[in-house]
Amino acid sequence: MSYKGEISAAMAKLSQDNGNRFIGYGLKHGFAGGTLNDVPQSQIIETPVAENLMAGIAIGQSLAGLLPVLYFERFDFVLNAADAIVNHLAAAEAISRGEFEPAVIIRAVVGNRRKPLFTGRTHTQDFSAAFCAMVDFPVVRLGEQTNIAEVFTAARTAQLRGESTLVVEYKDLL
Amino acid sequence: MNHTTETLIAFEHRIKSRFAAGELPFLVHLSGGNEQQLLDIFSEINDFDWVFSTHRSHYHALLKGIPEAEVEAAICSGNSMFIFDRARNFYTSSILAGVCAIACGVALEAKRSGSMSHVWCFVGDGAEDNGHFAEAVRYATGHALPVTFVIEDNNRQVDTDYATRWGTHTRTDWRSPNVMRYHYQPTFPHGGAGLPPGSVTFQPEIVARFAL
Repeated sequence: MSYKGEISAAMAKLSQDNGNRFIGYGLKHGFAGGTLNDVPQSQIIETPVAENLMAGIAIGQSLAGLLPVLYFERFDFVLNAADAIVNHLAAAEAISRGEFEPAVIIRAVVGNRRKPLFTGRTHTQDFSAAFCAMVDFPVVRLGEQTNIAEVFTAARTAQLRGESTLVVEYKDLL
Repeated sequence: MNHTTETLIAFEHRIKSRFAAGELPFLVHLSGGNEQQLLDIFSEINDFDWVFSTHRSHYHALLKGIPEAEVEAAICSGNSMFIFDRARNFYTSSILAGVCAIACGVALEAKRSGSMSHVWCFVGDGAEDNGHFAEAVRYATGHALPVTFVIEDNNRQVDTDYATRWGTHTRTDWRSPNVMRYHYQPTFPHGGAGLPPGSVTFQPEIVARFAL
């Protein structure tokens, strides 16, 4: 199965949980680069292009008992949501002394560098190392040899016990 | 406990006394001057509603039903800015406007599930300056979410008044049924207990216990 096919299959599997929600912009029409083609429309929450709002909504959905999957079409744009991710999502359990454990599966796509259409520096940056230093939950890169199904299964298992995961995808492999 | 203006003021003055005695080597943001406004607002807030609070959370926590002893214990262990209570749906963030989008996420599910729960999100007029607040208000208004953003306008962003930072006294009219504003004159400074600089000697054993 192709890289994109494996991600799509993983998303379809995540959607089997009734509480699952896919959150982001361009999802109702673009389906996250086609990776949400096989998930129910009822689980998709289309948002404005306001990344911190998207991330905050995902945290709130988790506080309400749901299982949010947050999608960023470029890792570069995650920086706009850094407050929600670093100061809130990653910090909540510690600062609330375990009262709240919001958990979100975050998907961030690194733009293509090796094949057209080229999009330049601000659409191709990989901030994996930076986020590894800023959050205390796993940051997992999906390379060519990665068992993608296993990664997302582990991410959902972690989410159910109150832990987030940042999954980094690569458009060059899609 | 049914709070009154007097019990709220007495609580914060007890915290001020402990600060003056050197027991609290922490950043605290004391409330004061808005007792009646908050008593009125919280008379509309149900036990099952959510409250999202700010760095200045003591009155909110007490009025949401968290016992005084619990709030005081949190403050005295360095958690004045981090008071949370899952059972009472009470959540705090001391990052400017940080809770606004989170409140939208909770309210979105309340609406979709048909819950009776309402979300109350408190912010200062400093947080109102921030784009994260504007995004959340637009989203909540457009989607008719069951959330009320309460702007606690004390004409102060840390120590700077509205006109100085925006060049006008005229407040933004958010034109949203999701936003309400009240004005008040704060009785304490932004941070600390309003004591003269250098007048407090923090107890060394407490400082040693909490130093990172």
